[in-house]
Amino acid sequence: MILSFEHVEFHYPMQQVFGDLNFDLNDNEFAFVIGKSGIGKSTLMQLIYMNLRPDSGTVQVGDFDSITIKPSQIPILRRKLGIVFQDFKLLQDRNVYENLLFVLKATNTPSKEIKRKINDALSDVGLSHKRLSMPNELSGGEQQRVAISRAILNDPFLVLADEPTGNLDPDTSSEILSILKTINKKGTAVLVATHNYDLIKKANERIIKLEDGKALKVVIKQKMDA
Amino acid sequence: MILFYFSEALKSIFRSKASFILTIFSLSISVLLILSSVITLQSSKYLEKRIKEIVKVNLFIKESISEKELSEIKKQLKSKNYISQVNYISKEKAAELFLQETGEDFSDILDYNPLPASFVVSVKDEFSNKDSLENVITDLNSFKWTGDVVFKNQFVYRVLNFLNSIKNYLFAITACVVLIALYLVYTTIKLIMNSKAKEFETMKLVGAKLSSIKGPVMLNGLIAGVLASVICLAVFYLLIGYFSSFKSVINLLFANRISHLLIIIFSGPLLGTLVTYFTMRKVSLKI
Repeated sequence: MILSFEHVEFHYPMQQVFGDLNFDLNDNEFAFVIGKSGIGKSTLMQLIYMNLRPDSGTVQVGDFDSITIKPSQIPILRRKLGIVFQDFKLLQDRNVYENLLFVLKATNTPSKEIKRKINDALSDVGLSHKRLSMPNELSGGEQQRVAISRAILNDPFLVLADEPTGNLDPDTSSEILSILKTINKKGTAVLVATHNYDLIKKANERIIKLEDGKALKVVIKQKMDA
Repeated sequence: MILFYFSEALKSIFRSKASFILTIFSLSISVLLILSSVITLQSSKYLEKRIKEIVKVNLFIKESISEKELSEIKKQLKSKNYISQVNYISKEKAAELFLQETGEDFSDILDYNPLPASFVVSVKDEFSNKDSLENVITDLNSFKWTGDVVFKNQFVYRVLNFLNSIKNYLFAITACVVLIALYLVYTTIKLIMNSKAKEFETMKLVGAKLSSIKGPVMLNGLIAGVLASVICLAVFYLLIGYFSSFKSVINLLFANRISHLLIIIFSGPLLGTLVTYFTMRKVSLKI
C-alpha cells in the first residue's frame, strides 16, 4: 500500500471538507477520485503532497505520514510524487527541454542522468520532437503531456493528476488518459481527480467517490454505474 | 547546487532585465542616500570640531606678576585637564597685535602700554560645551593672579547649540532616509518575487528545497547589490573629480574617504542580500 487515509478530518476556516475519510491505494494501482465541484478533490490531492495537513487522522504516503513528517522532508516526499494540474503549470519563458531541466536541477539531479531522464520522459509522452518548443507554441494536449513528462522525470511511485483533462477536448482527454495508463503499466501508481464522467466511463479502473453531506464518506467501487 | 543558483540567478537577470535594472537603480539610490547621510553627519562633526578648536579663552593677568610667577602660572594652567594649549601674550606682543588689528599706535598718545599681558587658553573638545565652559571660566577666574577672563561665550554657545540641534535632526533624517531606502529596495524585490510566483510554485511541486528556491533569488539580490555598489563608486569618484578644485569642499565632505568607500562597497551587496532575505522570509513550501 502506498497511500492510505485513516479517519482523516479536514476543514477550512468556514467549511468542513472531510469528516471521516478512509481509503487506500495499492502499489501500481490506478484509481479515479470523483465528486462534484467543491467536494474536496483538490484538497485531497493537497493532503497527499502535504501542502495541507489533516486536522485529525493520518495520511500515509509511502514512508511518510502526515503526523511525523518534518517540514524538511516534504521536498523529499514531493520528489517521489509526480503532480499534474489542469492548468499545466509550465514555465512560459522556458522551452520544453528547459522546463524539464529546471526540475532536475532544482532537485539536484546528477548531471550525467539529466539528459537520459529528459529523453526518457519526453519519449514516454511522445514529445521528443517538441523539446525546443516554447509552451505557447504547443496545443493544450501537448502542454499537458509536457506536464506529465515533468511529473514522471524523477521516477515517482505515485502520480497525482488533479483534473488533468479539465482544459482539453474529449479526444485529447482520452490521449492523456492513455498516457497515464501507460505510466501505470510501467509500475507507477496513478490517482486522477476528475469530474469528467465521460473519461471515467471509458476506463475500467477503481473509482473513489467523494460524497457531500453530513456523513462525508468515501464510496469505493470497482466500477461505477453510469 | 551552487552552479544551479548561479545559472538560475543569471537566467533570471536576462529574463527580466527591466526589473533587475529597477532593483539596481533602487539599490544605487539607497546606497547613495545612506552615503549622503553619513557624509552629512561626518561634515557636521567636522564643523563642530573645527568650531571647538577655535574656542579660546583670553585670560588677562594682573600687572604685578613677576617673571618667576609667570612660569608658575603657565605650569599651573598646563596642569588643568580642560586645557589643550596655552599661549602667552606679553604686553609688548599685545601692543604689536593691537597695531596690526586696528592700525592705530597708542604710543603716539600714551607714554605707557595700557594692554595687559594675557594667556590665550585653548579648551579641549570635550569641555567645549556650555556647562563645561562656564565651569572653566569660573575656575580660571578663581586664580589670585587673574585680572579678567574674556570669552565670547554667547556666539560660541549659539553655534554649538545650533550644531547640536542640527546633529539630532540629522540623526533622525538619516534614520528616515535609511528606512526609505530599505523600503524602496524591499518593494522592488517584492515585485520581482511576485513575478516569480509561478516558478516558485513549480519548484515546490517538484520537490525543490526551500534553499533551492530562495538561493537563486538571494544571489540575484547580491549581484544587484554588487552592481549598485559599482555604480555608486563611479558616482562617488565623479563627484570627487567635480569638486577637486574646491579644496575646502573636499576637506569638508570627503575627508573620510576610506569609510565612504567601505560604505559603498559593502552596503550595496549587504542591502541587496538582506532585503531579499527579508522579502523572502515568508516563502514556505506551501503552494
